[in-house]
Amino acid sequence: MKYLKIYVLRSRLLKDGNLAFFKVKNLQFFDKNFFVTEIRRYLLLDLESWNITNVMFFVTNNLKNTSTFHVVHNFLGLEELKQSLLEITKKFKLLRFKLCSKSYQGNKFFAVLNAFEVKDFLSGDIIFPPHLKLLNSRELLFTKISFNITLKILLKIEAKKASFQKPIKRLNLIIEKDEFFDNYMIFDLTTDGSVTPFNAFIKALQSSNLVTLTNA
Amino acid sequence: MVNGCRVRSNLLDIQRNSFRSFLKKGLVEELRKIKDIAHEGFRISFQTDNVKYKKPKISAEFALKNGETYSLSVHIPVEVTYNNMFLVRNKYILFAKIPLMTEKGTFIFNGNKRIMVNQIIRSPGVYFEKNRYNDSIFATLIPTFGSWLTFKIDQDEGIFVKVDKIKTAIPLINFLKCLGLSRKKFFLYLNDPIFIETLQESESYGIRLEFFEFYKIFFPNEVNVRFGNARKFLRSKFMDPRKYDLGEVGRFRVNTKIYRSEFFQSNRTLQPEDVLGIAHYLIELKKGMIPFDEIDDLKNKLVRSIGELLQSQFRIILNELESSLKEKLIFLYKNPSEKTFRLSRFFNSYFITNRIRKFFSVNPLSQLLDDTNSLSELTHKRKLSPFGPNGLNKERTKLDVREINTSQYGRVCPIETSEGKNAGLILSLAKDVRVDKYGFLESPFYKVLRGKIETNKGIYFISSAQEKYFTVAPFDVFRSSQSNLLDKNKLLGVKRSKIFSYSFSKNIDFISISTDQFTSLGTGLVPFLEHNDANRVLMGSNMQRQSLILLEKEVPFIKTGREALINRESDATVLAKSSGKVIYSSLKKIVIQEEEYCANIEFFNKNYSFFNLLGCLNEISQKNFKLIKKVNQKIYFLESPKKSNHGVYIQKIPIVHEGEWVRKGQIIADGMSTLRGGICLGKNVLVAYLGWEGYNFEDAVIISERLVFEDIFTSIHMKKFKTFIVNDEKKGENISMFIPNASLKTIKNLKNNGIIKIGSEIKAQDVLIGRIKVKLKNTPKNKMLIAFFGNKVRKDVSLRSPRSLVGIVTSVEILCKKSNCSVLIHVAEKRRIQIGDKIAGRHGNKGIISKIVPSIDMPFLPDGTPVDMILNPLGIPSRMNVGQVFESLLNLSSLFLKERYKIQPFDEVQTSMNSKSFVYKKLNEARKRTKKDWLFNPNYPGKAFLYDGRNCRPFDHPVAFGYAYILKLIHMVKDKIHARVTGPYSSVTQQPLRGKSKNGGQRFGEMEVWAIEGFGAAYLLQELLTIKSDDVLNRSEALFSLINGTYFSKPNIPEAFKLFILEMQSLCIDIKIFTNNYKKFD
Repeated sequence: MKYLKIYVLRSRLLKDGNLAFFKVKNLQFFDKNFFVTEIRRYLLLDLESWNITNVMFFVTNNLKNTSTFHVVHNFLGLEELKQSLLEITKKFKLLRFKLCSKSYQGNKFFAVLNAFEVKDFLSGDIIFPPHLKLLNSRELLFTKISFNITLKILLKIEAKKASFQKPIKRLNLIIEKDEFFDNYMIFDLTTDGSVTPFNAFIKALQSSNLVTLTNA
Repeated sequence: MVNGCRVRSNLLDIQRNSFRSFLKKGLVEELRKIKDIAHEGFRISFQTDNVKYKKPKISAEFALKNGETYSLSVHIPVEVTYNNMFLVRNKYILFAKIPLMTEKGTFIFNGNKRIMVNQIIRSPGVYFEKNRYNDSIFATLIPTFGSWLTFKIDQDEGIFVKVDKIKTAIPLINFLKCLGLSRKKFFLYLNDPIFIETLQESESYGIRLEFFEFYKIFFPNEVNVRFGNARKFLRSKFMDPRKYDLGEVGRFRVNTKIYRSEFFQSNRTLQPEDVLGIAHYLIELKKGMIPFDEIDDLKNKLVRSIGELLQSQFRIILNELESSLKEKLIFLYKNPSEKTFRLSRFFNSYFITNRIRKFFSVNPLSQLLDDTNSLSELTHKRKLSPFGPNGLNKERTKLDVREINTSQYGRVCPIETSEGKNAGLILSLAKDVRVDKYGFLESPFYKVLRGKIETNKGIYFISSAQEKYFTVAPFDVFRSSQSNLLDKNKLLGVKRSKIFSYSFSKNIDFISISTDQFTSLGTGLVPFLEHNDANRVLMGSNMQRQSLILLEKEVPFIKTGREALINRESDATVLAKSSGKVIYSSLKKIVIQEEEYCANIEFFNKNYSFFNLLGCLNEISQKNFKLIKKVNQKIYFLESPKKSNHGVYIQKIPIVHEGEWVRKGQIIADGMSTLRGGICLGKNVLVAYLGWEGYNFEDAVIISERLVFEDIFTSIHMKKFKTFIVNDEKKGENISMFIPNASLKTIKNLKNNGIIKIGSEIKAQDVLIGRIKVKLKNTPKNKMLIAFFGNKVRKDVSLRSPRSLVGIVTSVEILCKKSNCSVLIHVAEKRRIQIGDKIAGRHGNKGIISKIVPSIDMPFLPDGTPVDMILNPLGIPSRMNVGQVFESLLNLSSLFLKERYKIQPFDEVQTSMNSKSFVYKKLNEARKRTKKDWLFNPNYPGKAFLYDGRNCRPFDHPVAFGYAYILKLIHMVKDKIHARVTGPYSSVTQQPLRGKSKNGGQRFGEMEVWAIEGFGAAYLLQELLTIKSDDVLNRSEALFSLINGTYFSKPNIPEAFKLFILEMQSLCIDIKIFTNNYKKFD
């Protein structure tokens, strides 16, 4: 027995794959507000996303020809970098990721960025494990202006429920007001690319325990 | 009145010019007074024309870092002779070290940034007033230094003179005779019957008697006074330029008041004619011919800046120096010769330097710079205080002084002043104000001729005294943007002789240069200022000064045009000193290559006479010569991250890149509160005005979790810990990482020398510097420990971090000055916003965060965007700060239209209801462009139906919402919250101490006692007043009772009560307490 009928409203001209509208027809009588709230809560609160949770900086002095890397704290201003470490940390935390392999079960990754050369370092320069894909690879992270030091940055990436940098960028909903045609609920979803709107919506439906999804 | 000057709004010119003039003129002027000191055959002469100044040996940054004073040394050639025999010839000596002002108007004194606040005092001169209570008329003659003279005219008895605060008055005639005024002059000027009678009476006495009478006022107990002494005394009191000086201003004002011309221009002591003139004026006043002076008018007030304050201090110091030199000369040498005489034995530069240091540390006007943000810094430098030397007494300030005066327009801000006891006393300078050579405030105006604003004629600076002769109009009356013509047929609001009236444009003499001419810097930053109640704008401008620098900077969507101006003059930014090309830019330094093309001077000099002969010297341009390219490299060092005086983290970040061309005066490095030259004190956040479960009752504010987790209101703070080292054998103290009974967690970050590593994370009570004490006091406990463990007993006296601190050690410095070493540790701390923190808007709408709600539960807009902050709508009507509504709506439209606005204060000058129509127009435009119909609904403009985040249902009524520029203020709960279980007690009363710093207790006052009494909770009250306070025996036993689970013992008599009885007994009142068990108090 069907409880819901879902239409995915998408124009073919729409290039942005992260934006979708869902029109839901309520075939079974239950409180629409309750249903909508449940879906919204899941999407905005419980949907997991991959975020950088910790950034560590290691520095070695090339002038002394030593290969030992020392940990430096975030408040340090290195002359060899254009930006302060505090600013760089801030930029790292804005990076978005997508898990490529569905088989991966863990909830933690480590990534590294080796800064030997003198150049602008982009987010694409970070070395990630194969399961993870970076979504914004053209982000400028920092500029190194001297060969005097080598910088190594270690990043900890964890899957966490959305408290910071949520995967759903925007969520809007409309419940038809009219007494006679009140069977529709429209969800307007925009994601950051780590998850497709359709997948996110399906996950939300699954978790809501209001409907049972089948392949049919 | 000066014309032709363009207002450049150099905000620190008052400070800078004053200090410059002190170094150029003031110092030499004072030195000239002790040019020749002759005593007992000695003659010391300072050659004041050849004073040399030497630059400081250290840079300002170095002084700041190492706790030193950035000072300039003054060298003077000295010549000493004894009975015409030269002991020292023309030798330059280090005379004194004076703290040197930095470019941004600050002083670095013992490693701290200090400033000298401008003082506003009554100007020297003569004032004629009427006593409110007995209608008597009196005049006061105020000199720059010396005795004040008060002249009082009685109904029939004549005029009397009082000196300073001495109560005995002397008749004017006697005083004038003592000053040496001839009888003829007297009769000529004061042709009043009262005086003729009294003069005839006084004729019977000799002149001697009058001198003795005058002398006796000051020395009533002295007998056998010589006439010569008495005459000398009077002469020195009023006629010696070193003891009595009217000053340049005083003489100018006395001249203009009494003589109506520049009389006695160079003579600045008291002249008998001055007194005569005052008497004449008093008689005229009595007849009702002339109006009285208004004391609180700005024309009678003078601004004394750092230069004048230092000069007057120098005067005192040099007088002390003179007497000290005289004393030393007698004691040290009896028969000096050139070989045996040593200058250093009687003169040392420390004498003056120490006194100047004392002046900078003790003077109430010398204050630690308020560098919370760039605005607070500048506002502090532009403050006017009536306190300090020769200033007002805090306890005697009347209400009249605090009131706003019409003469303040364009000179002193009528809005910005402190709240509380200093309200109306501590003022702030208006934006474009200037100080004239005497110290009076001047405001800029445009000239108006036959109804036309003559902007081409330049700007006229007009003082309050000059303003009364002109008809002055505010800028609001000018509406046309096309021409400079004022409306001819309309009556315009004007001011003349301090009276507001209406007049036609042809009668107007001057017009203000802008609508916000009257505001100070902070007030000028408030958009839609005119829609707010003045009290709230006052709070708004004061709170902007307290706003913290946030980690994520953002400039406001709506500006007022003051932002860039403030940043240029603030210490937070770095300006390029000359134009050039950036060749290196990093966090530590910026290098700018300056290229200069100059003419071949040698060739020009050779042919100078030839060109001069031809008469074409002016026509010759540099092009005629071979140009030489000069390349200079200017390095701008950016200071390393440091702590401000208020514990805020400060860092400078370069904003120019290599290869970029910069011009002179351009901002090349940002401070923490600036972003690309714009001032950023807060964040633009989405606010909604609605009641939410009562959590925003009484100005409380609800915020979304997003503001916490996304570090939107996160600020960085720095704390300094200092301890003196350390390996002191006498005290038996060592620094070591081996601390007895310390857990591994607390000492894991220590280095071998016992000092914490840089970069280590510290939490509450972690050891920063491990210190142990080897030699213990001879107490029974220590004796026992030594008996058990031998001499290896150590006591932990380490420096630990405070309980509330969680941060990262950013620097460790060991400073050594001679044999004293000290360790300086800086800890940086990130503070997210939390419940209890204070936030505010720019319109004085302040509140405390009461709840942090997950963003999912926050109300959301019709497009699904959750609101960041919920404010109480009841906070607007009673406070009358409607500007915040305009701001939030215009911000909203600016976000959707991607536009930024600069709002002119008092923009009603353009059209009526301008703000309202502009905001609605923009909102409507945003609605059309974004196709979001909810943005503007004519039925309820500025409101929309918001949805409740908890159940996705719309609220019952439309809600006002928009973006507001919100500031996080320095009053944070983390600094204030405090709890105590046990702690120190007062030695006398045995009650817990007060204050967080002493780990004190919470006072349970009388009103709290009434509350408990009201509920009849007697046992609770007894517990509070005994075992939790000053019941010495039972308060320690209570702990054991708690541990053992037994009942508390019966409360004893509190120590305070015993003290009370003892005090009564010491007043000889026999008090005894009769209870079942009779107790006697000893």
